[in-house]
Amino acid sequence: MKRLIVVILVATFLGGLFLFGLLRGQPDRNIESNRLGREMPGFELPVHAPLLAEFGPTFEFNPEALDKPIIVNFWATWCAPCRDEAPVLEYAWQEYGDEVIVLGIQTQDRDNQRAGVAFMNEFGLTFPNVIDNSSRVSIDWGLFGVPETYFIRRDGTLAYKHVGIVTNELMDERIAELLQS
Amino acid sequence: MNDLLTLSTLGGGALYIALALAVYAFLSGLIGAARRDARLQTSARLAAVAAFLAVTVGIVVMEVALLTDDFSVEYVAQQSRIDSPTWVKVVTLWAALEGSILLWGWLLAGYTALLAITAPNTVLRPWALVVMQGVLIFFLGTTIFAANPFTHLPNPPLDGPGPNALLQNHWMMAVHPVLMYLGFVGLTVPFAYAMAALITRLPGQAWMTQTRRWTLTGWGFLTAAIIAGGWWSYEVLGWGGYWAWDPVENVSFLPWLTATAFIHSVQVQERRRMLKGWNLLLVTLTFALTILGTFLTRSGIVSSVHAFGDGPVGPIFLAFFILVLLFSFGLIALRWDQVRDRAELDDPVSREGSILLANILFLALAFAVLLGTIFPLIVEAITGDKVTVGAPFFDQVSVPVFLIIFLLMGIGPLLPWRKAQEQTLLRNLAWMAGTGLLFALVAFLFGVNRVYPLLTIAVAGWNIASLALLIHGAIAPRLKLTNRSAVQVFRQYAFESRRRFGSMIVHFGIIVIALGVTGASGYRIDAQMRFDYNVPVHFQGYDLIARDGYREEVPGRVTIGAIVDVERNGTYVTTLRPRINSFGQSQMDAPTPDVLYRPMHDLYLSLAGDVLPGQEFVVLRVVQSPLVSWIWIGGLIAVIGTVWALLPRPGRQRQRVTAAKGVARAHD
Amino acid sequence: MKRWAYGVAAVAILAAAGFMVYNAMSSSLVYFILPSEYAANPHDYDGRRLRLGGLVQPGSIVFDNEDLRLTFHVTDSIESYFVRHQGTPPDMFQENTGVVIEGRFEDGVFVSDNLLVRHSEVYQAPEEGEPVDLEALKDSLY
Repeated sequence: MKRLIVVILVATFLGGLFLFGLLRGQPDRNIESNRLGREMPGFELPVHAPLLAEFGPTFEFNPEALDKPIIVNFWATWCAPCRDEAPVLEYAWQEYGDEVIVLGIQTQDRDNQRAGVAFMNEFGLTFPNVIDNSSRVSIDWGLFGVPETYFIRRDGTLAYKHVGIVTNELMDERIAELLQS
Repeated sequence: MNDLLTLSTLGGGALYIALALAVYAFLSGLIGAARRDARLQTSARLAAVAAFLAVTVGIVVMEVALLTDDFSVEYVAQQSRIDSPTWVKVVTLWAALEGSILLWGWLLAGYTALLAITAPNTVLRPWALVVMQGVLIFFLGTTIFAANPFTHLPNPPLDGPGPNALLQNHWMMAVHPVLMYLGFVGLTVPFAYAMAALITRLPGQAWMTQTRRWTLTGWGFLTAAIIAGGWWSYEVLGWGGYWAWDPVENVSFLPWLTATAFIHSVQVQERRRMLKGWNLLLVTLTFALTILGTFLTRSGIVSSVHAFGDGPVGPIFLAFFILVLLFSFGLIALRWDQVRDRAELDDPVSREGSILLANILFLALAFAVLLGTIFPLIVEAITGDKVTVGAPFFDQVSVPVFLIIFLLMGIGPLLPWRKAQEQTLLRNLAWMAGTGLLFALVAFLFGVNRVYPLLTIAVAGWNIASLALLIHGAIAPRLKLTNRSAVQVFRQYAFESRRRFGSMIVHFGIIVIALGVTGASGYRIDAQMRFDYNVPVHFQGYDLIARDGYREEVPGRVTIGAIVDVERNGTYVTTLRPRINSFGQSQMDAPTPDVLYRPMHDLYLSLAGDVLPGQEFVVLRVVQSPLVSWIWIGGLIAVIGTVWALLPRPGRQRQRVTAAKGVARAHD
Repeated sequence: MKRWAYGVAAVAILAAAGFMVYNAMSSSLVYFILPSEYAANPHDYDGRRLRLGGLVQPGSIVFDNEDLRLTFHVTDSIESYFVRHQGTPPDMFQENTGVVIEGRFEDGVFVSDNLLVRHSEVYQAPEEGEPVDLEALKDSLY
């Protein structure tokens, strides 16, 4: 009898844990960034190998001294939606590269430079891509998940933040807004 | 949301608690066993149960994370995908390294808890539990410190890539790894008892009789796992085969070989008090090989279709493998005086002689397979050349060895212990050889004309005669003593001598498998052909007519396929739909062949080229493998035989009565 | 006397087993080489089964979808060989992709029965005039 009670208690506990887990709500990730309209923190990060010749050993983001608006995308090699949107970012760079800068930041990849380069080669990315090994920048920028894309005006302030996959249409629209401001 | 109460901290915390409990159970068990302190031993047993519950919490949390797509858990982010079907999410737990080790640790904790609750209270139990806890500490430690599935991602992705395409393409993937780990874990129990026997200086047969069921269970699961893995390969890899001597397959086969040797040689020690050291060696090797296998496949040092990425897990398993060998062989050496055999083999032509010979062959084969598996490493280390050892090596070595083992499998059970009587032996041999020849002759008349297939069929006949002789030998004397019918007596024998009759079923299953393997590899026809739509193509007595190609897209999966009507002698048989599935972001396509299962041969169609709109043909790989389904059926028979041997005899009461009758009979 | 007999039997069995293993091994070892390694000593590999690695030479792919016969040149930027493969090209088979083909040389033509595409994301074909890193190519294909 005592044994039966123990078994029932344990089973109830595990079942309860399971139910709690299943019913627990997911955090809402689309909260508006409180940095909207404010200046974004600067950084300097190492550029991925295939683009060294074009962009130099490091890429520096200095909000005080931008000569063009900049679109910053955070990605990781293991992130599936990032794979979906890689061609979109390349499209934006091909289409608007003269007027805006597109920057990719590889984040949370456990120093996996090699996989990052493979990712770039796979999608033939030609815009500057850097690696944020310590995830310092993603913390400074208040990153909630990957992929996230930040649209920054020429004065270094955040115009818009997009959570999830970007599309060609969204890029067209947002870049037009950036260029107007 | 509360940052502290994430699934990562919950699951990771549960694992830490489990590890702490396992360490406590190990230490208190050790001290309790050394001091013969019953209270400490009880405390260790309770801690074992608690550790199991803690790991269970970890498993539950991981399943919750998978089912609710919580990508802040790194393992989920790297292995799962939102639009996967629910069953795929559930089995994603063991789709990759971290989860697999967690599952292994959980099953091990479960077996340990079960042992702690149900094992009879003997001198060996406390020590065996200590050894089990030691192994559990290794697995939990590896999970927490080297391959933690609960690593937290501060910036989770919105979706993951989903598990490997080949794994989510077939439901067998939900079954095969679990069976494998159940087998591995089951074989840990006899190892733990063997070590306990050495520590307590009691290397008699107590450790074997107490673990007989565990050993047999482990062996049964391992057998089922290997057969299930073969069937999985057949159904998803698209080349029409089931066994490629791939390193991952080989390393699952190695412990099976030594475990098979072990379950036979155990009987010699039980009956003749011989082979004590040999049995300890085999049980140690079996356990060590399960660890070595994980090292070889998970370290990425042997290339394999199943290979996973690098990481610290490989070297950790290698270190543990070496530790296990040092510990157990050191212990055997230390206790050599007690382990050494005092009895000697009276005559090689005896039950024990045949078992010993078969044992040596099993071990030699295990050695050859291991050599073939790691040979590329050796060559590369010495000469720098990159080589692979082709399947022909394994075939050339294993086929003759297995043929001799099958000969022994037929004759061994008919031989008495100690020494055979010449006359009975010759009569039995005559029956068996005659049946074997008859089988081979009939096969020859039906067109089988190659040496190895003919030999295998002859050996099958030999074994079937042997089984008939065994059953006749068991039933005939009983029939004389009663007036019941042969069927009733047979039933009674089958239910009462479960172990003996179970082994006969298993042996029969093995023969069925052997015939299946012979047919499928010796007489397989494999062709790549172009099928213009609505034009019949003749293949091995079938007319295959490709009707159309199609493309189907559902969320998370894209399928291309062909619709092929199969006709035989002008009558419609079936429609097959060979396909290729691609899942979400996965780079790899999963072939999904379609098979017409037939008892005598399978017709296997696999898509070998693209299906494009406007393209009026498809290219298919067409394979006909005779008898291939006998392998799965034989495997099922072997598992049924194992279960038969494991089931308790009907009613202890009756057993005692029959035992008394038996004694009375012996006095007559 | 009995022990002595067992000893002799054991040695004989071991010797036979060792011979069998050696024999089987020497006939089933498959070397993995690049075209230039084959060119260096072609006679070492006479009649042997090989795994040949390299890149698919641009402009050399011909696929006959009537006979299902695929031909192309495999190259390591130094040597290149004509390959005949019975069967359809696999999914990711393109110019300049890394491939490993298994089969035998017959009169200077490599007749393959198994064609694997290797995604060598790391290795890039050299530009004109650049030295060829054979080790890197081989590692990326293995």
